[in-house]
Amino acid sequence: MWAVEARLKLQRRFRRLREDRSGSYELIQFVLLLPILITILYGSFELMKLASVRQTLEAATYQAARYLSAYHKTYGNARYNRTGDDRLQAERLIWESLLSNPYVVSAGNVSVIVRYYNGAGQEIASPVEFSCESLGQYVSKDPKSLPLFSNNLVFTVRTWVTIPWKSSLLGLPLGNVTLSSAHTTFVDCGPWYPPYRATPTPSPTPSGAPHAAG
Amino acid sequence: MVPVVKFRQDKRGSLTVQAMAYIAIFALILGLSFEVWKVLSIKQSLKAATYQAARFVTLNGLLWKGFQADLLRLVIEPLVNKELQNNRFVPAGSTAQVTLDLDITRPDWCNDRNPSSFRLVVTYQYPMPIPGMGGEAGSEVLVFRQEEGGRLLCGR
Repeated sequence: MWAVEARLKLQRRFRRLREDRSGSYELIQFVLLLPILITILYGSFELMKLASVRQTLEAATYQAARYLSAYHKTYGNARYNRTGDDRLQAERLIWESLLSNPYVVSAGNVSVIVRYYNGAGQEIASPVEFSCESLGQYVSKDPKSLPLFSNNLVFTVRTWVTIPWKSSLLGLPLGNVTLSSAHTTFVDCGPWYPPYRATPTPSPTPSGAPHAAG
Repeated sequence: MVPVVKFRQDKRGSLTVQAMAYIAIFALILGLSFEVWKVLSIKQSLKAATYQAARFVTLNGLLWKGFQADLLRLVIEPLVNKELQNNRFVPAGSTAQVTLDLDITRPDWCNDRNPSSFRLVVTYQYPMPIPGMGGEAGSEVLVFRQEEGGRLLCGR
């Protein structure tokens, strides 16, 4: 019996509350909207952190690609026969760039994967195992034979970073977000001087006297 | 007329109607912002791709004297399109059109007063979908054009 009475009392109170138009209407509306606003604000901050890391990763990948493009030990000239590990240096650049981002530093263990692909999209161990001397010879002799060769001239550096903190956006859990970035560039062999020319080969003339071709 | 007048005078549910209108506008702004972000990102990728291609031509242009079409087909076009495809907003399989104009000074290859030069133009057509309209009719083709030019470097 008392339970029914209590229920009726509660229902009456609830109806009165619903029908009551007095009091601070705006304040109640604000209180209801506050959690949504906080969620949006927190989501924006999370988005900003992810954008910051993504921007750093983009710059780092570009720096690594640029490094591998410009500095490599395959110039074909003994003067430039560098002994350092080009890949290691490029990956150091990526790490140093990432560690200059305050969100990455404070996060602790960040997982970074770096992979290299040739012009045909196949994964390769190192993008700079390329002979610039051969490029000159190929182009000057017969560029039609170049397609396979040019696959090694162009390369892509692709990086993935898994962020150690668990992200959430507008209340939706995203877990450990993995960001990726890629840049395509080429093995820088130039500039060339004089224009690379094949050794002139004598070709027979109708009179039988040889003359230089090219 | 009476039902219309009654409907206009009825103030019940006005907050709901207001909220629905705001939510729709908010969703539209959100969708458009995302589209703008995609467009800017693609434009940035095109710029990066053109820059890489221009760098290649600057450094290697003299080597490819007489083989301009091969230079374009074998190196420049793959370089530009690979860099574009690195952007996940670029539809798979879509390609950019590249034109290259090499102006090589003869007979002196490294003439400082009249240097050899090049002009590279990359055009990319992006079908931008209009929110709420599917299919081909619901897309607007945006044309991006990026141009780079300069000297052909001569190693000394």
